[in-house]
Amino acid sequence: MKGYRKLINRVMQPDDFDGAACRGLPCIRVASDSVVCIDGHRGLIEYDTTRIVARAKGRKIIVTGNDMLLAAFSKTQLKIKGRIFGIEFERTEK
Amino acid sequence: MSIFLRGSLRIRVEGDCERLLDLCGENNIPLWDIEREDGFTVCLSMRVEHIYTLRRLCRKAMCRLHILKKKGLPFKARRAFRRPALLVGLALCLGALWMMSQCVWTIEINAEGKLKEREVRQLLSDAGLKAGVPVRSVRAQRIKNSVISAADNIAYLTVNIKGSHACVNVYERTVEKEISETVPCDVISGLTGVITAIRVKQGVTQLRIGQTVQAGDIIASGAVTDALGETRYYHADAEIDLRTWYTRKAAVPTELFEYVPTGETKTRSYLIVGQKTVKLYLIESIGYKWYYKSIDRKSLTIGEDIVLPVTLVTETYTECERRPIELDEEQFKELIEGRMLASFALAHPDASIVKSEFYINKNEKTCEGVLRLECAETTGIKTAR
Repeated sequence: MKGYRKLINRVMQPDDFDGAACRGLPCIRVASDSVVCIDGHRGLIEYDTTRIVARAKGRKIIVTGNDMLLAAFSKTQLKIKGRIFGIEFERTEK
Repeated sequence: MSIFLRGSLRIRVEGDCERLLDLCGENNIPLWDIEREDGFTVCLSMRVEHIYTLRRLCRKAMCRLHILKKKGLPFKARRAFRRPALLVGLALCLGALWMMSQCVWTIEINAEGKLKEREVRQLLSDAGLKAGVPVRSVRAQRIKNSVISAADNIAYLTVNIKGSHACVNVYERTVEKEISETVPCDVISGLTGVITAIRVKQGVTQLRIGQTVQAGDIIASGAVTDALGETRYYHADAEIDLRTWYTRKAAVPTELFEYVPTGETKTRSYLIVGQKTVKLYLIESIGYKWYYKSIDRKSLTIGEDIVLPVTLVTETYTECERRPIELDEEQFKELIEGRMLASFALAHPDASIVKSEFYINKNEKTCEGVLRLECAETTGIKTAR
């Protein structure tokens, strides 16, 4: 059953935001280079003014920038403000 | 707003902050404005109700917690509780506000046609709708019935209460002039004059062109008697063109004045609280011999609907200088004739003037104008038999 789900997930990559949210995948909204909103995160791994790493389903989200702060933090939502340089993803092995 | 009402805290956390933030997320504790001070310290804001949970989580994550600032209504209210007079004042103020919002303070009357606002206001007052009455005691249906039965010229009215503002729309009763074509009727003259043309569509007329008719004379009768002597009644329809004559007189004083503002103004204000007036000035006399007066009213309102019974009235007096106007006879003639013709046109809007004659009689004090008009008019009023 687990293998079957994995296969389904691999085959059916999310093609819209609703689909991603249904499967527990993170949705990221970016407003210019100053605000990043991550919906569906699963915790914070690292927090610094230049680098914030959030945990998500099957991957890590790495936000790099300058003078960053967490404007809002809740169970599923993360809002980062500051000067954003980049957003990276890192697959995590299970 | 919600955060202000519930209260919030600004907290400094020392230790493994990521772990603590993770735990906060798991325990549904919303945080905001999380600022990293250094490698071990984070400042954050949170709702006051989550402080005990956060203390527990801090122990779990081996963090230290310091409250930096307390914000919001619960902390402000706690400070206010030490001042009972302030609270009593606030309660009294809120109570007074609530009590005032339970009464009708302003009545807006939208009267149609010839209805006068003053008369309607008096009728409403007699029916129980006046400034100061409780909103709960206002029964729209009862007011409607009372006003309609008291006045013959009111066909219908609506009463809408919005907060402490009552809006009354009054509709005038119009007498039905048109008589149905199935109803037998005669046609009478509404004017006095000499007939120039007769047009009878139905009915019998005894009139001839050149004949004089008086107001009320029958133009065409709806009663038609046949050869057998049997009388039948029809709906008569006719009209006549008349040549009519009018003589009008009007007088104006020979000494006329104009009032020119000098630029000097004075204002004085007063408050109207309910039915009482509170003067906000000391000197009663304005000191100007001639002046124009303008009044500005500002009512105290909360939103659009709640009008409180406090009105600030500002009266502005503009001083004027009285200067005599010198008019020659021709100008007097023009002035009086213009006024008289305007007044005649208002009274007889359908009359077309064929010939007019005007002259003035001037004496020391007054200048009297006499206007003689010859007009062409059409008349024909249907009256049911």
